[in-house]
Amino acid sequence: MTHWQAFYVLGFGAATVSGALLLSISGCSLVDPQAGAPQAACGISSASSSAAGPAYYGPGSSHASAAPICAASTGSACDMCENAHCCASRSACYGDPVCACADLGLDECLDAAPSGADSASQVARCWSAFSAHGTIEQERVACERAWCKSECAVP
Amino acid sequence: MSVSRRSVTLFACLLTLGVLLGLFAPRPLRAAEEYNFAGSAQLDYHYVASGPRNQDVPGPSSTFQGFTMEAGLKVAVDISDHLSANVKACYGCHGFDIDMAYFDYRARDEFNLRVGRFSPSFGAFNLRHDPANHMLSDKPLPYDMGRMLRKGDWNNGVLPSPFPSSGVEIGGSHWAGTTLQFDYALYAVTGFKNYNDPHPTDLNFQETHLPYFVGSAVRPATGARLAFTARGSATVDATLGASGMLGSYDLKSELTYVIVGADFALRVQRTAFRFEYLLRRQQFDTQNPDIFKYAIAERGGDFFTKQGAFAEVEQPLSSLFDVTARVDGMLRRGNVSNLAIGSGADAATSLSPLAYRSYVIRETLGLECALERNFRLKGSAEFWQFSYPDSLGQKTALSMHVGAVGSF
Repeated sequence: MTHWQAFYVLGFGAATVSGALLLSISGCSLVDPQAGAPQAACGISSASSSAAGPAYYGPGSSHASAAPICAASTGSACDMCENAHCCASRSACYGDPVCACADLGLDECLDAAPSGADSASQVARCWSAFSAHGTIEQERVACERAWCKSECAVP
Repeated sequence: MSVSRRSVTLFACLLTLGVLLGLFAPRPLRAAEEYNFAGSAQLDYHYVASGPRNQDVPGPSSTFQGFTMEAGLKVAVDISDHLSANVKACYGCHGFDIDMAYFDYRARDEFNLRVGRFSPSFGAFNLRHDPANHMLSDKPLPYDMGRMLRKGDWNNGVLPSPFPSSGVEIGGSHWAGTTLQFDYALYAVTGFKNYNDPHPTDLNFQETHLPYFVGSAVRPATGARLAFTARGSATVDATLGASGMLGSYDLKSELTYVIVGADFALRVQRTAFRFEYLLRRQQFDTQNPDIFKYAIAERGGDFFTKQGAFAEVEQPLSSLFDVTARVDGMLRRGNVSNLAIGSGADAATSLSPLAYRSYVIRETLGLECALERNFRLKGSAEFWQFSYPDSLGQKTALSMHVGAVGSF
């Protein structure tokens, strides 16, 4: 093999290997990660959420409220009960972008539940979907179920 | 005192005495030992024209602006025809560190045993990671160690260079005539880790250069590199290489990372062309779905990939000036963690601006002026394009580097 033949072989080899590598990574499941739907698709902007804490969302307010989560409230019986007994899990939820958005989803889901015979199953599905988001949601539901089951109508 | 304890005490005393005698006993001169001191230092000034993220103080989503300093001092000792030692202390953004501290036992060209702390063989750029060995002020994005814009969003490059680790490497070179050269390396090293986060989602590079340096992983990270070099003539050569590394980075050694790379370099007289491609496949802990931006997919949802590549051309214009053009970028695919790496938090700390598929592309044009052989000025302009906007809605940015580097 002459010098230039070796040179061309290497050049061709480089192009082939690089091309094969690029092609393989585009279709191979080993390097093709999957992800589900966005969990924080409720309009909370990243610009207003640079740190953890009750800044993503507050009850009865628009996004990025910095209001104390467990302050005395004149809201619903559920809110008052949760403020009194489940402050930690409630704060943790509103301080987490995913949980805050899931909470919005839960409210919408409960509002959309029919009032007829299918109501109970629909409500159960709403809570179940909320819990499925993660541990923060599960802890919040567990506390509500333990202390505010009737006030919050937790199934 | 029992007999056995007395025997132990006596043995300890004798051992101590032996060590002291060994230390102070006269030893023959070793005329064969040769010492070589080398060092380099680069001062760089980085200016970013615009962008709110670019003006932050150092932090998770920030960029280093202003002056940065990198320096290194290396001592190489040839102890015998087969044994040598290297120690390199370096100074950078994190303070002082030991980049190298290893022994090389070279039985022959085809077999070299390296033990100690070193950057294992991976890719071609790592060989010239010292700022005195590359023309531009900063490293290519796949090897970026924190100089890139929005570095916190990306957690640096694919494989930040250098990446010193403790371990052992076997390597060597074999020549086929005077035209072809074959290089290989196999290694087992401590590797990367993230022991601080209860649910790790990425490598924590801080833990590589902060105490404790040791890792508790029983199974070390392993890797290999193969390279072929062909010399067409005295002024033309080409190298083709492939590298791979596999390891785990969590305390339970359950989350793996795989890094593969391919590199190609061509030199024709004084013109150099280089291309490298890297891919990292990184598993993450999905036990707490709250910290992720997207719901966890049932299949293929426990990892992300980060790819990076660069191509660059270096062309001397005269004995004084060199020009370098580089295009580099990274592509990240997969679920996104809202947890700041290394924060130790168990809940989301911020909403990551990255999406399932995010990329960054950079074009760089640099000019280097050699005032003397070992003292050069560097200047470069970089145009950045991101797939996602910053808080001002900007997807592009312009930055400039001016620096000086000296070596001895």
